[in-house]
Amino acid sequence: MSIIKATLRRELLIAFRSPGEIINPLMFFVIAVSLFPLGVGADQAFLSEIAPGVIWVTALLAVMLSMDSLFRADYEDGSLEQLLLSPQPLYFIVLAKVSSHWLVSGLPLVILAPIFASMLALPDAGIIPLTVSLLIGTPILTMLGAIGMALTVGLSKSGLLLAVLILPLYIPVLVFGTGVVNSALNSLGIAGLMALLGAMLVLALCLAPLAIIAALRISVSL
Amino acid sequence: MWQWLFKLSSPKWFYTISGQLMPWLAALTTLLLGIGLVWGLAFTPPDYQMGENYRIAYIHVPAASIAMGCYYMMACMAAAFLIWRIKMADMVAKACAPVGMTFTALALFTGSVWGIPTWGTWWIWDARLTSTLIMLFLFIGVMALRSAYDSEAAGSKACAVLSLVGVVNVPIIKYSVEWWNTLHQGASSLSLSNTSANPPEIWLPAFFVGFGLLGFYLIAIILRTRNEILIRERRTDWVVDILNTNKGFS
Repeated sequence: MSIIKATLRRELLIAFRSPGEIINPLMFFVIAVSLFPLGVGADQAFLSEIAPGVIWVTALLAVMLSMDSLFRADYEDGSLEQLLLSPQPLYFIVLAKVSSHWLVSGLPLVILAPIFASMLALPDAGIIPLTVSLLIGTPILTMLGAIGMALTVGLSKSGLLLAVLILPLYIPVLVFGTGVVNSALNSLGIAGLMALLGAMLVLALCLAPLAIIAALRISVSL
Repeated sequence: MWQWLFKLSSPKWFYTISGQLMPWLAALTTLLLGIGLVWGLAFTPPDYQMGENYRIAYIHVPAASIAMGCYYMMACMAAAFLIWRIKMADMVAKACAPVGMTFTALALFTGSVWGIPTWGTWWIWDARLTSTLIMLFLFIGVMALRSAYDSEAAGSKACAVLSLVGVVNVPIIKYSVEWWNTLHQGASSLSLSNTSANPPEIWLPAFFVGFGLLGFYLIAIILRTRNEILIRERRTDWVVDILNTNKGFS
């Protein structure tokens, strides 16, 4: 367990020493959400209808765009190789690394989302379900994104390739995430959908680190 | 059986055996496709509701099934490559991506052509259409990843990992899209594959075309794999011999 603590400490320290990495995905989220009313018009009724989808799609893109900082610097300065060579269980190192990345890139989005959902005229009944669905859903997005990032970190131009690889895999999270909000707005039960999202999170936490490790080994051997 | 499979994992054996099988497979495919297409497209009675239009299902349904099967085949080959390091499995997996993509695109295209007169639109966000479109994206993703790697070995492994991640996701995607669809617009009862109500002269040609297309799929995979073998093994003696004598299928 101490390796988890040590990795978390290291990652969070690095993240807070270069705050741009934390703030940029957040700024992307804020600006991209603000573009929608400008693009589709300020009609409150229409905005409230598209609000869950807009917030979810934008959060999804923000998570994907933030992935680049997950392994890139470690790959370039060689610490990724040291990590893979370390005698500690790699599974937990990767899990801690990806979790700390979510803490600095995903969690701020979850905290900001209610404000922007409110600005998009999402009815009050949908605010808490949206926040909770993002809270469960964004870690899944980070785990899946980390697989894609691990596969492409050794390539020189990987930005758009990551989107092609990862966005199709994000679809179930998007469907269930927006489904939670829409069900809440239509006064339907959301427990089942939340449970499905939770099941996907557990599945991602269990299996994604294995894929990430395999992918990192390939990238480092390049 | 096992020994035969084991031999197939050697590129030289695969090349030889597939070369011997190819004329038979090609003849059988031509026969099946010829009978099925002529019978299905020209001689079956028109449907009383859809008229002549339903005939496109003879191509559409097998193309869609083969496309989906191809993704699973690619994932199985990826697993075989990652677990047992069988190089042949990777060559087949590499052949699967473009062929599977083409069959998926064919299924989407024929579905759209069928949809214009039947549904009045060439695209709706129906669960099947949407999940087929996503499968097209998955195939494209695998191809994009492979082409991004300069190193053949690393690209193969990366694609194998991605295929396996994808195959875990395929059922989740399919289920989520179906669920999403029922939430948004109600389940579509317009199913192409509802053949239980039809007489044999309707479904028998479909049987012929289906196996014919399956044969065509196998031929496409085998030809691509054989090319890949020649490229990757170009420095071995037996490939040099073949290239020198240039005998074609032998």
